Amino acid sequence: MRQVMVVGVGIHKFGRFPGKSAKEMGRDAAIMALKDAGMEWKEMQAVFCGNTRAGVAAGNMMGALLGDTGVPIVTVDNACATAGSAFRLAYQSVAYGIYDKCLAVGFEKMPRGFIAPTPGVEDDDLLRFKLWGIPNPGYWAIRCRRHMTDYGTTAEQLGKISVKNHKNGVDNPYAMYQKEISLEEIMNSRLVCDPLRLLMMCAPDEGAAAAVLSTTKIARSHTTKPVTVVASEITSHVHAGSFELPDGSRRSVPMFPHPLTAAVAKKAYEASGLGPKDLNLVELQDTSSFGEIEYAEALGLCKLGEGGRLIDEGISERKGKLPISVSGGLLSKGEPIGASGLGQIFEVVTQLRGDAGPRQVANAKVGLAHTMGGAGNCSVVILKK
Amino acid sequence: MAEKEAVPIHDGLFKWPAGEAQLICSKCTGCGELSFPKKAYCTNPGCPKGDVQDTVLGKRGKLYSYMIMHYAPPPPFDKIHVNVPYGLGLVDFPEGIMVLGILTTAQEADLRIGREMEVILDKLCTNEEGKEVITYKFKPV
Repeated sequence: MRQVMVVGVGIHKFGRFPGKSAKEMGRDAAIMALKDAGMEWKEMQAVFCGNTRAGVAAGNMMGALLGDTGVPIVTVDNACATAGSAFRLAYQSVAYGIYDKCLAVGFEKMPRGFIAPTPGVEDDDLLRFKLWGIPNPGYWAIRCRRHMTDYGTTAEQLGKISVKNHKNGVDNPYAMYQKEISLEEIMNSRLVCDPLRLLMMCAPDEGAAAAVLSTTKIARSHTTKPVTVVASEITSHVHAGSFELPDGSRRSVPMFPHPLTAAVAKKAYEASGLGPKDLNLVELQDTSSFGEIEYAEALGLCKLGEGGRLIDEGISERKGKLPISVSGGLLSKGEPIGASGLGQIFEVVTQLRGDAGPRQVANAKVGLAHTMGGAGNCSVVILKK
Repeated sequence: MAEKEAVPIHDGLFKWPAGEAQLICSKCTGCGELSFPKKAYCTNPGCPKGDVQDTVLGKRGKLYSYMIMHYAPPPPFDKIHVNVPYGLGLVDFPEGIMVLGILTTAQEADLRIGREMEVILDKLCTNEEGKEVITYKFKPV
């Protein structure tokens, strides 16, 4: 197995861009990443494109805008873990000697509002919309309410995470929202899925991001600031269900820690030989403020139930001991599903290179990027300077 | 149920003998795992292989958690029911399975985690053919 490096990154601002297609945004991000890598499109030996909504073979449609080189293109759909999965495919291609230079590019245009079922598709997911009308935030709200009961997590902690992430977003020119929001405004915003309020939730939006991966030798000859991929792991649903007690009765397994995140984080820590204590910054799936609490716990950044402490004690602030969402998180950036994970990777790479300007975390050497998707898809990437 | 013919919101989820709702699960004879909605086969990778059979859950469980919907839900539910706010709860049944369902109340005062809940039958709406669409709901005991 060979060591793999990120040699270039690119991004298209996240937000809303009427009249601009997802593939055009993907093209922009790819061009920026290639330029950053000092490479050309025609040098790419494989391209893994993250997209869930732009139609069949969206990756090929994007690739056609860059040039018909005949490069193998694969379009990847793993719900919110799409970009992390595209990155994983690029990573494993280089790691196992299949290719030397790969591009991972995610691009997406999400409709506004709750993510609705795919029209005309009778899949398992339609049932929850048919029976209960429960959108994704509904599930987070159910988990959040339980977490509040089990561990004393408070609505105010949720609010403070949103304050932090929006404040961080001010310094991110690629974020959709670049405006501070007061705690008061957040706590007074409308309840959407109680206990989650509007300003504690991220907006599905549009954007693109890309990364060029190569062998160490190639990376070092192209850039003075390569970043090593020490882990890129994905997981699907792990069986939970129930367990049997000695008397033969059954109990449902408890909700926390989030099983998929814990499972993929374990794989990533084992693959990298690193642990939570080695991390200098974390980008995670803060689709709601509660996400930052429960995923921090499942990633092992703190003990189970203590996720709220990270914000209360300033640990997750930009100048804290373990900054979380220094990019502004999904709360500020929004979530263009196919691109999100690569947007996080863009941030982590930028930080490890020392190029993050006002967002810069001091002495950033190791960063983690986590995305959690529907249908049971979870990815964790760990990058090292 | 009523004079109008009743039609379930979805087939195979519940029976409704004499106006009561009984949730239908599948249970694996090999590993004992339950599924709701029922599955045709066991998806427990550790299962020593068994047959999946229908079974009916008891009437009561404990409220494991809940949320209140304040925004109109996405389609198709927006056409089927319900005025917001409405409650959704996860009920933990003693058989060893948690089931999500609509709550009969959205009042915080009535909802407490750990509270005993019972499964009831309720009407959701009347469909285009004039039939009553029924579903199961959870009601605080």
